[in-house]
Amino acid sequence: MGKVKDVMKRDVITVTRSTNLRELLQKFKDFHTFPLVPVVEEKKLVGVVKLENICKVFQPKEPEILKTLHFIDERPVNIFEVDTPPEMGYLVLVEDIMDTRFITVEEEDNLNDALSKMRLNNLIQVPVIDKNKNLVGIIGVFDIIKNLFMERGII
Amino acid sequence: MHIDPILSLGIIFISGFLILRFINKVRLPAITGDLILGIIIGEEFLNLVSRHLLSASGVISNIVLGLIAFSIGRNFLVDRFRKIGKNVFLISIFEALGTWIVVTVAFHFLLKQPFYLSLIFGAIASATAPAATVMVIREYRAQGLFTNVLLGVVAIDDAWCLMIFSLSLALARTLALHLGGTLLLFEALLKGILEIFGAIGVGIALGFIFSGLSTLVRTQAGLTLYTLGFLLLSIGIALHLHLSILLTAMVLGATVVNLLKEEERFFASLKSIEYPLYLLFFVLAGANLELVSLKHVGILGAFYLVTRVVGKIIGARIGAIISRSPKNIQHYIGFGLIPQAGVALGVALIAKANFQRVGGLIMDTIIGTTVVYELVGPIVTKWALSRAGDIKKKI
Amino acid sequence: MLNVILSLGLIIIIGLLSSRIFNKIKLPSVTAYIVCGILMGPYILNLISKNVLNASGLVSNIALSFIAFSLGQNFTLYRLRRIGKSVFAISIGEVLGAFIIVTLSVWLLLGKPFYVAIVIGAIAPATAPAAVVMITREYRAKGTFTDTLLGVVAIDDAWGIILFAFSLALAKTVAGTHGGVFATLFPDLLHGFMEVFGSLFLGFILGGIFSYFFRFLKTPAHLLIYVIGFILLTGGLSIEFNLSVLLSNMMLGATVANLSKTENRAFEILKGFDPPIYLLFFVLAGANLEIANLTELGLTGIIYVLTRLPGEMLGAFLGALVSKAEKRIKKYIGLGLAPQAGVAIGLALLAKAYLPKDAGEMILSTIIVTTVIYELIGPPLVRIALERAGEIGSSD
Repeated sequence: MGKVKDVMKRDVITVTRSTNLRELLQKFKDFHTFPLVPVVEEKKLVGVVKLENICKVFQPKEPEILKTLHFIDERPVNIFEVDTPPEMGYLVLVEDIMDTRFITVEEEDNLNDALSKMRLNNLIQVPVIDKNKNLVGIIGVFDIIKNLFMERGII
Repeated sequence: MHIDPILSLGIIFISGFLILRFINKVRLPAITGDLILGIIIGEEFLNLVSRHLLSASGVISNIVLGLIAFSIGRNFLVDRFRKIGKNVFLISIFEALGTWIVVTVAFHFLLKQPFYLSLIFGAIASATAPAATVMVIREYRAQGLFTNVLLGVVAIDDAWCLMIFSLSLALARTLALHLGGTLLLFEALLKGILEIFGAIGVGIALGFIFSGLSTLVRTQAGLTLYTLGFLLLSIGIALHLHLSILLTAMVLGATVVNLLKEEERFFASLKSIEYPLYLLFFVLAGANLELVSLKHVGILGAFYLVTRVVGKIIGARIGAIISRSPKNIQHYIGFGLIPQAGVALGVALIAKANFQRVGGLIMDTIIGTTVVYELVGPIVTKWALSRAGDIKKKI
Repeated sequence: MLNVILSLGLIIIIGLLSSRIFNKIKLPSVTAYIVCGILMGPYILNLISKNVLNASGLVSNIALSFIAFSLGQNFTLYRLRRIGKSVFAISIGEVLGAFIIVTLSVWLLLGKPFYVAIVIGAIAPATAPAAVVMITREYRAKGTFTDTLLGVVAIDDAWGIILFAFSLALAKTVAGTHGGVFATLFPDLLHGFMEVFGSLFLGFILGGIFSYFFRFLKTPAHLLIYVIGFILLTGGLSIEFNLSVLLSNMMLGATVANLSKTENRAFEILKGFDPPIYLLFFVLAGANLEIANLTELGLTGIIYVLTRLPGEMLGAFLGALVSKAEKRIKKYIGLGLAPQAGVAIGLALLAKAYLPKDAGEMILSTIIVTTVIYELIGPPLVRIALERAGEIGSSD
């Protein structure tokens, strides 16, 4: 059973708090799916940006506390009808949309535990940190599965 | 001791969680663990189950049965069924009939029981409980032809058992109580057919409505509510019209999966509520088991146990051979049909209602044998699936 | 009489259908469920099986436990900080304002027993977030007023629940004694306080156990059963020890949220499970409405209706004043807090379960009727408030 550090991807595209929406989207312009993007501040992991964070710009802000009341109707949003002025690209910063509380795994964790954690939290990739909370890589369910296939000689 | 129902539920879920989490260390299916848990916290031992919960057991068990049947129905995609249809059909007919005949004959000729009583036991014996089988298949992620055939057989055999039971009851009443004659038999046959077709009809009708209105559902919460609502409606209507819950729910599932291209989101939405319900179901089943009745098993019960198993294995095997099923099905499919539970009890209750004198005897015997089947059944099913090769060993 | 399962199936399907219809005319699902309950209930269509109706208290208890647990997650430093000073002050002010004025009116003006007055008073501040949210969405309201309003309307249910727990605790004790209020006031207060403290303690301990063993969870199925198990255990133990179900579950949620290092999935996983429970809860709330009593609203009801809103508005105004909120917030925020609905009925159902028969029934009937009234006049008032505050966006 290997450790996360053996399987993770070390080469990660990151952003900083002050990266604006335009720069963020430019980085992934040619990507087909939006991955998990770690936000770092001098090597330390301070936040993550996911697809759902980007989708939030289409929704006018409602206090977070409303999410804790489950019997309130889900909000149907037609993103094509929302007004999104061009200035948004410069005004919206990563800081405004990122998640500051997020799940991570450590590089020394073993793969089984990492996989369980991802399953439990319904995630397909998580950032990897070291003991000092510095970002060292990113790992996904597919990475672990690929590794398993390689070990078993299937690929 | 009067315990609050909410506290009771809390205890059931927490201890149920512990079982779920650690049962694999004992190599037993989780549902066996739940059953044992139920027995332990039931009235005979710790008495931690609230009175309200116990009286709601019937409702919960009907709902879960419907849930399970619904999900079985999902497997019946027409083209997939074409492949195994013949096997399922033949095996189920033969095992149902086979068990009926074997048990009736054994009781009458070997135990010298009156014919009508033997008939009743024979009819009850043909019933198979799908819940345990389905849960074992899920837990061990069994997959393959054997599994598909087993699921099919377990589902359809309810239809045959209905007919068999209807007929036997009528015959028995004719013989024992000298009521009616051929007319009664014909009536019984008709009633059985009506129940089956009624169930199929309701299932298909609801399935069409479900599919027709399905585009109305836009939210995640809506999916769960919609699917659950229709399921409950189908079960409720079946109960109201005295039809088979199993068949109705199953046909509903089968209709939906064949009519709706986007069926998965509906079936998947039930995932978020099914585990707690299954847990509750099996624990309550255990809590309702009266271990004391084991002593009433006696000769009759022991005989019943043995002959039923024999009937199932031989009948299923014959059916499998005739339908040219692969060897593993021939050898092991009968073992997958061992579990018997609530269905048998329900049927026995009807028998009891009809025959005052021997009613009590029937009930006690069946209650006792049910205890045995519920505890042993899942383990045997797991064994059968394993031997048939459908459970992959962990590396 | 329809069997239990058929009843349940009908409740869910008809509930779903009506919520779609209601949504089209811009009313929240919660309202649809309540109306469904009224229509399907024993006084009109009578489609609900007796067994299901009798379980109203149980369903209420369970639903409120889930609501309290979910609200509990807001009590972390991180989240409290994001709530904001004015929302805090206004919500607390509004809750106290309504409570004090309604309680005093019912007690002194009407001469009802003290313990009945404080329970009614404690239910008064409950606002219906669903209705307010619907209106703000419909009129595309945007701005600080809207944000403040939404924040207040969400958090005040938490304060309301805490206040209700304390009042009910006190009322339970007082109801058992005879003689004047002040004769036994001190020991009663002490008793009530002990119930509150006991509930918090229970929630705290169970929250600790929850967090400690959390690491054993491996799959979402485990998680769901684990969370539900703890909530029910907490609720059940509270009932056994005569504590407050709501408070202990709120504390459970708060403890779990504070002890977990990251956003705990425990709260999210309930979202898949609770829709049927909430639907049933609100439908049954409506089904318990005794139409007959609608006509005899009674003095209590009238006083309640007349004093609740002014009480809220006054309290909210003071809260806004203290937190130095903008002028228009000060002026109109109280108006936006008018709607009242399901949660109030749920609390009334709880009150009925724990208080002497007459008192409990009177409270329930009063609250149900007044809830309907406030559900009707509430939304227009919210709209007026938003309009006056100048935050109604370009509506079509």
